[in-house]
Amino acid sequence: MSESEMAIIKPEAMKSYVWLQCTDGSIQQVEEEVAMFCPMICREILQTGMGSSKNYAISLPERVNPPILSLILDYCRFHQVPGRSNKERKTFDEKFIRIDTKRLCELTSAADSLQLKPLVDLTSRALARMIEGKTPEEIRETFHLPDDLTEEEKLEPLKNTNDDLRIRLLNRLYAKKRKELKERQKQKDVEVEEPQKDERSVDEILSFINGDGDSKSAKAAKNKKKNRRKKDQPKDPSRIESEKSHKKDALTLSMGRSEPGGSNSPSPSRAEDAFPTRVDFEDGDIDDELDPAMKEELDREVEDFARRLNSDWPERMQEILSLSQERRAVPNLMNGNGSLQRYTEFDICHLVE
Amino acid sequence: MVLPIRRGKFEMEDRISTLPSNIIEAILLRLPIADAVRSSVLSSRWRYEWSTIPHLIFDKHSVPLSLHYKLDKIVDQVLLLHSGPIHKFVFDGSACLEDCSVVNRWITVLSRNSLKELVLRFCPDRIYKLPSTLFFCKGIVILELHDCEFRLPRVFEGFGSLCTLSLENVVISDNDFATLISKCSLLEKVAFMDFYGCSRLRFNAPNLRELIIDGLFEDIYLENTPDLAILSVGLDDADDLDDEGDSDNEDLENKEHYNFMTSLNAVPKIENLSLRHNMLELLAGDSLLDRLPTYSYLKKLYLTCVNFEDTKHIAILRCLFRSAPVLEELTIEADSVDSSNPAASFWEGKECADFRFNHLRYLTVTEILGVGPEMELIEFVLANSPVLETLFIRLDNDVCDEVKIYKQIMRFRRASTRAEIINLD
Repeated sequence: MSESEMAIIKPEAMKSYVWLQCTDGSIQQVEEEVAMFCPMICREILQTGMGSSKNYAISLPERVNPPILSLILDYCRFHQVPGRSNKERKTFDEKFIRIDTKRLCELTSAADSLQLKPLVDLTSRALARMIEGKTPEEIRETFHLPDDLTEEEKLEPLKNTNDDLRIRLLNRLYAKKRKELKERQKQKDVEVEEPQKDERSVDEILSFINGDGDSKSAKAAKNKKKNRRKKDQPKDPSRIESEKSHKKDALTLSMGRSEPGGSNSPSPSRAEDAFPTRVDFEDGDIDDELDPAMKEELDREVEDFARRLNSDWPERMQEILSLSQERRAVPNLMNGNGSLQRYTEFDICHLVE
Repeated sequence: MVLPIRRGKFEMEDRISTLPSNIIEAILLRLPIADAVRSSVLSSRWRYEWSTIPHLIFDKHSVPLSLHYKLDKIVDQVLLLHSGPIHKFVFDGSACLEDCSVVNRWITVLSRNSLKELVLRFCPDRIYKLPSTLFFCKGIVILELHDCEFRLPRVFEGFGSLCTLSLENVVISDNDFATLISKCSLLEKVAFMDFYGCSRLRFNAPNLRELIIDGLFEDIYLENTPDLAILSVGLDDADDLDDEGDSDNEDLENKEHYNFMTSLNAVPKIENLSLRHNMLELLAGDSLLDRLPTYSYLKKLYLTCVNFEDTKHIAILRCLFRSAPVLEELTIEADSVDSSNPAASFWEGKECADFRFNHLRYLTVTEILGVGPEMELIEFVLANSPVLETLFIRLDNDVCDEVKIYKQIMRFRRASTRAEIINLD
C-alpha cells in the first residue's frame, strides 16, 4: 500500500481500542484515548498491559455499572479532545449534570472509584448546589434520606461518647453523689462526735440546698425544694452544680478539720448548740430515709440537670460557661453577705469553723 | 457499596448517603458553613459528617447577615463540636464584633489543629491585638490579616511554611515587620496595605516573587529579593490633615531614597512593575535615576499620576523606557497639572529617542489632557511599535475640545498595520 492510502485508512482501522469489563460481566470496547482519560484505567493499561483484547479486559470497580460507564465515557470523549475552549467545556458540563439525583450520585461514586477528579469536582459541586439553601425536609425529599433521628437527637449535635461534655459532667455528678453516699454510710458506722458533726454540716448544707435553711419539716423542705426548682428553672442547674461542688468543698473542709482531734472538740459542741433543733429533725429523717431519699434526690437532680442540658443549645452553652465562671468567682466572695442562696454554704463553713 | 435491589422501592433508595466519606466531605466543603452544620439533622448517616470538614469559613457569604450579631457564639459552638484538623479558618467580624478578645481562644484552639490558612478581618476602627499564640501556629501557609496589631514575641522562630502574607490596615513596627519577613524564608507573595507604625520597610525574602505595597512610607529596601517578578508600589499622600502638607511633599523630594534606588537595581528578573500614586514624585527627587539597570524580563509597566507637565516625571519615563527593551504592555494614567518644572517637550535635550518599543503590543493612556509631551509620546509609540495591536485612550473629563485631540491622534502615522485605537469610556 502506498503511504497516502495508509494515511487514509489509518483513522478507521488503526484506531486502538481497549476492553473494559464491569462487575456484572458485560464487556465494552472503547477508543483508547477516551479510556486513557481516566487515571485508573490509564494506570491499569500502563502497569499491567491489560485491556488489549476481549479476554483480558480491564475489570472496573464495582461502583461502575454499564449505564454509568457510558455516561463517563461520553464525558471523557468530550474532554479529551485538546482543542476545546473553556467556554465549550463549561457548557458541556452544565448540560452533562442535568440528570436525576439518583444517577448523579451513582456518577459521583463511579467517578471517584475511577479517580476522575474533574468529574468528581463537577458532580460534587452539583450535589452541593442541590443541598444549599434548602430546609432539611426538602433535602430529605430530594435525596430520599431516611428521617431516622429522634427529636432529641436532632436538638443535640453532640456525640454520645466519653468525649461528650454533657456526659462527662453527668458522670462527675454521679460520682460525687456516690462518694457522698459512701461517706455518709461510713460516718454512720463510726460512732464519734466529730464525724457526727461532719454529717451534720453536710446535712446543713443539704437542707440549705433543699430548703431555705430555716427549721422546717423534712417534707416541707422537700416540697419547697420542688417548688423552687420549678420557679428557677434556668438558674437551677448552675446552682445545683455549684452547690454540689461547694458541698464537696465543705465536706473536705470539715473532714480536714476533724483530723486534729483535740482542737476541734469545742467546735462540735458549738455546732450542736448553734443548730440544735435542726439537728434533731435531720437526725430523725436521716435514720429512716437516708438512702432512698438520697438516691431519689440524686436521680431527680441528675435528671433535672440532664433535662436542662437538653434544652436550647445556646442557653446550655451559657450555663456551662457560667458554671466554670461561678466555680472561679465564688471563692472570692467568701466574706460576702449570704444574701444570695448559693453563697450560704460559705457562711456555714465560717460558723462551723 | 452494593445495596440490595428492592423492586418497587428502587427509585426511592437513598443513593447519596452511600457515597464514600471523602465525597460527602467534598460536598459539605462546597456548602456555606450554616448549611454544612445543618446537614447533621438530615439522617443518622449525616449526623457527624460535617464535624470533620477541614475548612471553617465564617464570612458574609457563608453566614447569612441576619445571624452575624451572634457570629462569635456560632463560632464557639462550631469549634466545640468540631473534631479533627482545621486547615482553613476564615472569620470576618466586621459586621458584629464588639469584643475581639473571643478570637484569642479560637486561635489557641486552631494552633493545636494544624492550621494552614487563616483569614481574619475586623472593624477598621477596632484594631485587634494579635495574641502570641498566633505566632506558634507553625504550619501556616496563607495568612491574611485585616485591622490587627502585631506584637511579635521576643523569641519568634517564624512561620516556616508561610508562602502568602497579606496585611491590610495593620499596626506593626519597622523591626517587627523586618523580623517577620526575614524569618519566613519560604515567603513568595506579600501584600502590605495601609500600615501604621512602620515607615522604612525592609524585605529579606529570598523566595519572594510578588510584592504589593500601598501606604505611607519613607523608604523601601529590597534587601534580598533576587527572584522578584511582580512589584507594585503605591505611595499615599502625606497626611492632608497637616497644614504643612506641601512642605511634606517637598521633603519627600529632597530626601535621598538610596534604599529604594538600590532596590530597583536588585530586581533583575522583574516582569511586572507598577509605580502608583506618589511614587514618581518620590523617584523624581532622586538624582540616581539615570542609572537603572536593564530589565530583560520586564513585560508590563503600569504608571499612575504621571505629570506630563513636569520635566522630572518625563525624565523618569524616558529612563524606564530605556530599561525595558522587551516591554509588551504599557499603561499610563496621566495627572497633568501645572508644575514648577514645566516641560516643553518629551524629547527635551535629546535629539532622538534612545529607546525602542519593538515588542510593545498594548498601550493605554488615560486622563489625557492633550498637553505637548503627552501627544509626542503617543505619536512616537504609534510610529515606532511594529507589533502594536491596540492603543486604548481616554480623555480627561476636564477637556474642552475633545475633537481636537481625537483629530490629532488620528493623524499619527502607525508602524503596525494591525494597530487599532479604542476609546475607553
